[in-house]
Amino acid sequence: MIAAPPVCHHCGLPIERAVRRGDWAFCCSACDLAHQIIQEAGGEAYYQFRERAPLARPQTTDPLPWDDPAFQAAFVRTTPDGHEVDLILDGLHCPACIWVIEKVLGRVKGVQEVKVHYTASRLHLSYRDLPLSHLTRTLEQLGYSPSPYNPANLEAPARRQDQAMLARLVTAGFGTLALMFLTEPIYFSQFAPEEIHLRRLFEWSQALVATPIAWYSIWPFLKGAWTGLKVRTFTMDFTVTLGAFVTWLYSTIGLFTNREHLYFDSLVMFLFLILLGRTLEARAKRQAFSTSEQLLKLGGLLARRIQAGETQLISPLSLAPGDLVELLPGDKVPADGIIETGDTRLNESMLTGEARPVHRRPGDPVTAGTHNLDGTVRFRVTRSGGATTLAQIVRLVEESDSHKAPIQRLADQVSHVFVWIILAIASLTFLFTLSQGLDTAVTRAVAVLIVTCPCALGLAIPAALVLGTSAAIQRGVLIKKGEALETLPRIARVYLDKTGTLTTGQMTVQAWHPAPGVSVCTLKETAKALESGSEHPLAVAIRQAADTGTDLPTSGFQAFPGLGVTAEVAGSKGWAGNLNFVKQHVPVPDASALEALHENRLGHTVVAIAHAGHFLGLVAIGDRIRPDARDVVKNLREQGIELAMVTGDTPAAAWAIARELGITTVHAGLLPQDKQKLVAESDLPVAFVGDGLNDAPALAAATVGLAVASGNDLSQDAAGIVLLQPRLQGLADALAVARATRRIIRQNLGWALIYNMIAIPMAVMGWVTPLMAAVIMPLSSLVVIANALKLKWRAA
Amino acid sequence: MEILFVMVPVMLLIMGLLVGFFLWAVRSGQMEDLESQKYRILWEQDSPKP
Repeated sequence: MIAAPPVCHHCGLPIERAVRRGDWAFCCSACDLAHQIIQEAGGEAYYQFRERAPLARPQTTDPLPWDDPAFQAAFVRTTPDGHEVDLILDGLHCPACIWVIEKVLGRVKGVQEVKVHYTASRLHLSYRDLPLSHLTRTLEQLGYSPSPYNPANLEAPARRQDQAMLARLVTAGFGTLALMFLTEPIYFSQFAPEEIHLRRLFEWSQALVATPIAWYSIWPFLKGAWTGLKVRTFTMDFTVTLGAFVTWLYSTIGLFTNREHLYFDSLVMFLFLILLGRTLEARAKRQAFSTSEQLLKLGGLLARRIQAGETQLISPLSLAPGDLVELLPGDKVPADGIIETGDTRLNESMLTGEARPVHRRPGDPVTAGTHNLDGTVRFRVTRSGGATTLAQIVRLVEESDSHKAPIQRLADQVSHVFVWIILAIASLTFLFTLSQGLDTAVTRAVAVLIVTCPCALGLAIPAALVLGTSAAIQRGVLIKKGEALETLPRIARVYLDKTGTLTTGQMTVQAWHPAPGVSVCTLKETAKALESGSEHPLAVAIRQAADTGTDLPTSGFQAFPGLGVTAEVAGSKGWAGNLNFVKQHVPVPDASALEALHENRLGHTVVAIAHAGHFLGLVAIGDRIRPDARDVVKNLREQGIELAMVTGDTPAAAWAIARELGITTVHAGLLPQDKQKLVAESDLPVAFVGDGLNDAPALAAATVGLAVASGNDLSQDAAGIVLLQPRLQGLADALAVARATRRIIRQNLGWALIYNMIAIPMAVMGWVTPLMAAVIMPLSSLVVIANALKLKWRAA
Repeated sequence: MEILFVMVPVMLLIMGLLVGFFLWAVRSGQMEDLESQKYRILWEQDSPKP
């Protein structure tokens, strides 16, 4: 093998004219500078630990106006402490990059927080008293080109890779056709001895076409293999590269030594198919992993901004807070805002899961991504682009990617060992087949190398986890930490918070108790009339529940805080309030008094109604249990999971709900830290379900924490899973998805094992040609992905 | 049959040109964003630089 040319210490590319400093040689001053920066920050270890050299020089692209306030307005956020910004980085190629970036930038005075999201190629910075350009320039000099985080930008690095893959794929396809042209005459005709020149023409043409195309196509695999080798790791790229290289070398030598069989056509076709497999894998992965992209695309591509009296059609990303936007029927809402004129109905199912249209009037908020149904409104933008609720959800989803589940780490280790084994088998095959001729030996060994698929292993688990996350989102369950999905099936005990989780947290009328001789209608009418002047939750509840048609004329409201209200209803005085309050004005029958006690024991609040000297009855008001809570509880119990209620409310109220739902264990009167202690001391793997605010400590302490997102709680940070829909069903759904995911993971691992156990012996025995191997191998990876996609389709 | 000595190289040349055209198209970014092109014609002002 030819001696490798000296390579740049920083970027790994061959050096033409060395730039030297001390003991190091670089290919250019940009790399030199990058090394200096890293060195000064004390990050030399980066060079030891990185998986591979970037094989790309630091670029200086057109400088963006980083410090321009107008430019910053779209993506830089100001906090009381300074500024926060998200940037997309180009050029992240291994986890060591995360380290070096965080180290170098972390040392800059004024930088408060540096966080790299590797899978999203995104950098989060929080800083003060510092021009943004200073930070971006450092990033450029290190070789990581930053750009503002913009929903459209999410796709930029991925797109670039896609384009390159596409170019290689099409070129390889072209090459396959060309090689077919050039090889056909040799296969299908007999060349007379004097026509040897013709034969040579074709053979040389084959080599001429195949060689550049082969090197172009193999380049990504070569890079992967080389950098793997540098850290003494054999990657699957290595087997592909080795197989292709051996084939090429063998054919080239054969060309010069007048061998009869040349394999240039097989080489190029094989590369085409491998690339095809890779492109499809990448596309399937992108489809599978594109939850974020899909969510962002939901924001729509058009917005109607009204400026100086005229309507402009622009991209939603150009909207700024304060803009006036017009929304026509059928439009997607392009940004978060508040309605100024007009009213309409919106379909907010994308956010809340509720497909029932919501009525919105001036003063009501609208959210980016929801559908406008039948009205025309104008609203003022409050948040646009990366700041919308939609974008926040996307960020939450992406954060879930950065936690690697334990089983995934195991799989990574296994695949490294696996490749060693493959190489051993291939070499042995070669040696043992040598007796049948060099041709055969090489072909066999190449077939073995190509047919093995450690990619199934590398793909099996991540594919399932990410698709499981995607499937969960479709059911309104947001998996923020991948390990939550993996741990959830092991849960043996669930602690449920009461208010807001098992109940809706809203007061509703539970029962009407008219006094003897009084009709329910009268009670309702009078109650409604009396409570029509108050916005107290109890009053609202009564008004909503009193569904009688007649509105009695009422006037002269008077409120007595803590006691009740009075008013003139249809000419006579009426009272509504505490039983004691009402008792002072009218006598209360014993039956009603007993009913009141009964309701109190149930934990309900009792409102007594009296009118024109008569006692009319009681209204019992309480927190409404979520409609699906009973079923979910029953479901969980049937699965053998221990259930307990945990609440800060009184035992009476707690037990009332518990009895209704069939929960037999209740811990009441707990403070947030008590809840946390209870959860932390659980001897079984435990899940905690709460609605966020006061449950955050317990959520963090549980094996898996599920937050019911009822409102704008940002304590969802503490939970591994967020139930986006205000229904308890989400818990059951999360469990179902987690179980399905676990099943798929096992299936995929099983498939990978079986496939290899069958394919490798077949290749060793010579029943699989290199060409067949090239077709089968990507197919097996696709099987793994397709199996994982089942998770997504079944949920739909 | 000797005409093949001319035809084959010419064929290779033409193929080379075709591949070159394709790569140029990819490199000049024509294959990149097929989605928002549909809407770009409707916009009245430039969107922020992606």
